[in-house]
Amino acid sequence: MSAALESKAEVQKLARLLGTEPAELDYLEAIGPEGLRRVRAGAVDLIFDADFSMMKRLAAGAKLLPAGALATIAQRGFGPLLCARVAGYVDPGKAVEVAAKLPPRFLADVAIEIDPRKAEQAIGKIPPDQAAEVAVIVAGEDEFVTMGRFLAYIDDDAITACLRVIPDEKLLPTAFVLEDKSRLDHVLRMLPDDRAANVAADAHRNDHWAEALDLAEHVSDEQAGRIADVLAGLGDDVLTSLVEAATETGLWADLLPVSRAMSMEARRRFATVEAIGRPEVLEVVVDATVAHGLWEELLPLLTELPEATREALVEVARARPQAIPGAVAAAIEHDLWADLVSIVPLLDTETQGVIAVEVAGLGPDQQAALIAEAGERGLWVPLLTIASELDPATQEAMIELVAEADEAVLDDLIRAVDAADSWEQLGQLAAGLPEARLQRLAAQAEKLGLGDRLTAILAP
Amino acid sequence: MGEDPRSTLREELGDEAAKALAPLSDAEAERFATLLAEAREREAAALRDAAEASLSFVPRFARGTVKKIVFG
Repeated sequence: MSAALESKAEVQKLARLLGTEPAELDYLEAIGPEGLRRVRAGAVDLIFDADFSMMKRLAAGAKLLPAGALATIAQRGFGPLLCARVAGYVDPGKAVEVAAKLPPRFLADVAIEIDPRKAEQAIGKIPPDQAAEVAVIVAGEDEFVTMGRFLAYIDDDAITACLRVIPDEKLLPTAFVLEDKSRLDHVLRMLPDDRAANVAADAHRNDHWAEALDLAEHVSDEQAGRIADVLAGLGDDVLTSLVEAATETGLWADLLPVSRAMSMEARRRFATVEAIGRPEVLEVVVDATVAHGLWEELLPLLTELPEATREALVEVARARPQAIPGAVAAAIEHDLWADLVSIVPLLDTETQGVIAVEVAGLGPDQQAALIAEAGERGLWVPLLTIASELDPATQEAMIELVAEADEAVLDDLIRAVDAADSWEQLGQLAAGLPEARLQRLAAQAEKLGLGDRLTAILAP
Repeated sequence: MGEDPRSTLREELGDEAAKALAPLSDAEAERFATLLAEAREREAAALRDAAEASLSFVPRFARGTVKKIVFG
């Protein structure tokens, strides 16, 4: 999770503990999530340990009474607050026995007031049916911090029962403040696809984008990809609202990893969202990328952007010192060669030269993979630009690899070259091909009605 | 709040939390210390009320003993 989102979640939990609104504590977000966790731990000790001796005495007394009598005393005498405090000190088996005799409303009030340090012991063993009854009430009252604590400690069967009854629109705010987020992946796996889609739609309807992006950050790549693809499959209005929310509230550092987790098809769809191309959005995207070192996340999206947007984004990046070198370094480090090649025509000659040196240094297998990917993604023209910067030996090796490709690949190459009017570049490279390869290229061009163009540039 | 809010926060929340709160301005530290004190008072009052109320459930003749157990 980005530190900003983590701080927001921590502030929400602290506000619940102190009985105030998160907005009243917004100045605390600046101290960061780790600091906030320490403050919350200190506040929990301060508030819940104040009457420690009284709770110990009450728990000792509870040991002597049967569960039935305790349940009666709990409801008619102690009330939920006192029960919540004592529950943490009572034997867990006894706590479950007593809880079984209490109505859901009372248990929900106990769950709301429970000492967070003792929650696992007090509610961890609650049976599924009863957990679900409590969950309905707690979720219905938007007690998300309580719900997050509840779901963090109950067992899988109880979680399944709760998920069945918690409305879709309550899931994201609950997940955001879940006490143990390492369980999120597991919980999300239990959620069927149609409900996952409803949850994503809720992010739009109820402005829960921060919560949705946070969820994606806390789950495995597989589950993040599932969320990301669901998001990308939503309507343009939803995706526009996501882009706008990310821009206005500084969430691009969280959104870019989600776009990376998307399948190629979903990323292509997301890249077409008009709002991404707005100048103010591009500025924010580049700033977030540079500030958080997210080129690895941005490059795959950048490749899929419409040409004008891609050009505008690279232009913004070129105006930031060290941004482009950062992009190149990240692409090299993370093997994003095709993504890097896609922006080559937009870079200055010096940077193109740097990239060409790196491409020349790739092994034959990596070069072949780059050519294959460039073909699949329609990146022939940028690849030719790079190739023209390569040393003759590497040029020859690469054009040989291209010339070996099957007819469909050659057709794509020839069409792309013609569309971008890059015949001259192709001609320079093809000039060194052995006669047989050249003939094959010419035959393919001829078949496409472009034989004259190739012949013209190959003529001495 | 009479006492220096930063000292109060250190005393109540411990050194680690006080260190984390160091970047706050004096006004923010005071605001937070006040909020914390209010929460603490509210909690104590609610527990006191709950404990008192629980006594009404106890038969009159046993209240003295139970009160002693509950309140020490």
